[in-house]
Amino acid sequence: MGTATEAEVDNMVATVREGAGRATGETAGPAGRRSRLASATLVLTLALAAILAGPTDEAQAQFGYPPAGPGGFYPPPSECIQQAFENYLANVSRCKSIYCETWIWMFVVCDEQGFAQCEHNAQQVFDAAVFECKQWSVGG
Amino acid sequence: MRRHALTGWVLGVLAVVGSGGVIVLASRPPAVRAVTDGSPRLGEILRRHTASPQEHAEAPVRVLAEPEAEGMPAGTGLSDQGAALVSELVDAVRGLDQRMPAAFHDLAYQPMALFVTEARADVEGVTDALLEAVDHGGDRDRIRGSLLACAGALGLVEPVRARREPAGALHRAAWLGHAWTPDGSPVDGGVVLDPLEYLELQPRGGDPVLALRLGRPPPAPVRAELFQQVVQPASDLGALLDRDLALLALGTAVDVDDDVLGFLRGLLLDTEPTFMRLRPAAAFVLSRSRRPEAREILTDFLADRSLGEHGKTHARWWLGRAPAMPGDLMALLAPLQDPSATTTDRIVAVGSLLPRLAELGAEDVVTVEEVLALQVVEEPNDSARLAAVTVLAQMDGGWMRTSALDGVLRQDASAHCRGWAAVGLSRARGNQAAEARALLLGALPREADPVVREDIERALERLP
Repeated sequence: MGTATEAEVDNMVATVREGAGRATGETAGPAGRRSRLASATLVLTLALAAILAGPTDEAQAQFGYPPAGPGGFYPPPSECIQQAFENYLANVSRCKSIYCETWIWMFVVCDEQGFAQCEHNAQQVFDAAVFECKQWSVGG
Repeated sequence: MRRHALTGWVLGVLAVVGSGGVIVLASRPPAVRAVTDGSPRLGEILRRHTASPQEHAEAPVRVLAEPEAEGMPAGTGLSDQGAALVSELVDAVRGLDQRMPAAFHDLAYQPMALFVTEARADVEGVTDALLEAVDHGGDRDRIRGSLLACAGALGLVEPVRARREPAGALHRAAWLGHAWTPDGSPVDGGVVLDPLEYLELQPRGGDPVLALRLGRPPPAPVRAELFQQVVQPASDLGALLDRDLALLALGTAVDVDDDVLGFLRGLLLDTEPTFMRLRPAAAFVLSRSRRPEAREILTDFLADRSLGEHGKTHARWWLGRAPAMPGDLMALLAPLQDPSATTTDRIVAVGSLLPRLAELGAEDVVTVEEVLALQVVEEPNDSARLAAVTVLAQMDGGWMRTSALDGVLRQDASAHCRGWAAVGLSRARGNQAAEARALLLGALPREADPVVREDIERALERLP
C-alpha cells in the first residue's frame, strides 16, 4: 500500500528538476528529454485514469487499490478515500524528504520552488484518486 | 559525453553478467546445504523446489497447506503458536522488498522452508538449525536478518549477540526480534506497533525492514540498550531508520513502563533537531497507547505552537486512526480553524477525520459538520476543498451538511467537487432525502459537465 505511486513520485521529481532547469536557463539534454517524456507519460496516464469510467488495472496499479475480486468486489468508498489520503501524505512526506533537508535550529528549511511543485503534483494524484473513488461509489 | 555513454553501456553489460554469476553461485547458501546434508528428506524437498524459483517461493505455504504432498506426515502439525509464527515468517519474507529479483527472494525463502519443515518434526532441531544458520549463513544479510529476528523472538539470541551485530539490517532485525509478537497479539501488556505502517509514511532508508509486528515489551536489559540506541546521533537515513525502529521496539513498553512514557514525552518537547527527527516515531507510539496520559501528551504537543510544526502532520494522521478519547477531536480539527495552517495540514486534517466518522456522537457530528461546511465554502485550494467535500459527503449530518453540499453543487468551479457533492446528497436519509432530491433535480438542468450530470442522475437513482 502506498508504494504504487512511487513511480509517479519519481516522475514528480523529474518534472520538478526539469522545471528548475528551465527556470535557470539550463539547456535540456537527453536526461531532460527523457524526463519530459516521463512527465508526459505521467500526465497521459493520469488523464486516462481520470476519463475511464470503471476501475481499470492501470488505475488500480497507479493508486494502489486492491484489485477487484471475482465477484467484482471493490473496497467501500470510505476505504478507497482513506487510501487516497494516505497516499497523499506518503507522497508529500517524500517531497519533504527530497526538498526539505536543511535544518536551522528547530525549523526545517525547504527548497520552496521544488517543494511547491512536488506538493502540487501530489495534490493532482490525490484528485485523480478521489475521482476514481467517486466512480466506484456511484457504481460507474 | 559519447565516451561516457559507451563506458556506461560496458559497465551495464558487465554488471548484468556479473550479477547473473552471483545469483548462480549463491543459489544454494552454505547454511542451507549444511543443514540439509543432515536431513535427506528436507534436502529432497528443497531440491525439488529449487528447480523452479516460483514454486520454491511458495514452499513454506505449500508445506503447510499440503503436508502429504510434500512427503510430510499429516497430523503432526505445528502448534497454533508455531503456525502463527510460520505465517508471520512467510509474510516477513514477502514484505522484505518486492522489487528484488526473484532469485534473491529464493535465498531468503530457503531457511524459511527449513524452519517450517523442521518445526513439524522436532522443536529442538529447529533451535539448532536456526542458530547454525545464524552463525554460518553470512552470505546473505537478508537471510541472517530473518533468522536473527526469529531467534530473538524465540529467546534464542541473548542481547550480547545482538550487540555484536554490525549496524544496519541485521542489527535492527536482532532488536526487533526481541519485541516481536508472532501472532500480532499484545504480550505482557505490550502495545502492538506495525513498523511497516509507520514506515509507509516515512522516507525510506534503502534497507529492507522485516514485516514484524511488535507487541512484546523487550526484557529490561534490552530496553536499557534501546534507550541508548535511540539517543545515538544519526545523520544518514539508515541510521535514522535504526533509531526510529529502536524507538518502536522500546515503545511497545509504553503502557507498562513509566520511564518509556516519560522518555517519549521528553522527545516530543525537545527542540534539538536530533531529537525532533524522532517526533513522528514518538507520536506513532503514543497514538497506539491505551493510557490516557499518553493521549494527553500527544494532544498537548499538537496544541503547543512553541514547539514548531515538525511531526505534527503525521501525529494528527495517526491520532485520527487511534480509538477516540475525550478532547482529541478538537486536536484533529485545529488546522481547519487555523488560518496559518498549510494546505497539506488541512488536507491531512480532513483525512484524519475519516476513521472517526462512524463513531462520532451526536454532538461531535454537529461540530465536524459545522467545520467542514465552512471549509467547503472558504477553502481556496481545489484539492483541500475536494478533500473536505469528499469527507462531508461520507458523513451523516443535517441541514448544514445538505446546504453546504448544495452550495458546492451550485457554485463550485471544480467538477470534481460538484460530482462528490452529488454523491453526498444521494446519501441523505429521513427528512433530508426529499430536500436532497429537490436540490439534485434543480441542479441537473444547469449542470454543463457531462460527468457531473451522470453523477447527479445516479445520485437521484440512489435516493429512497
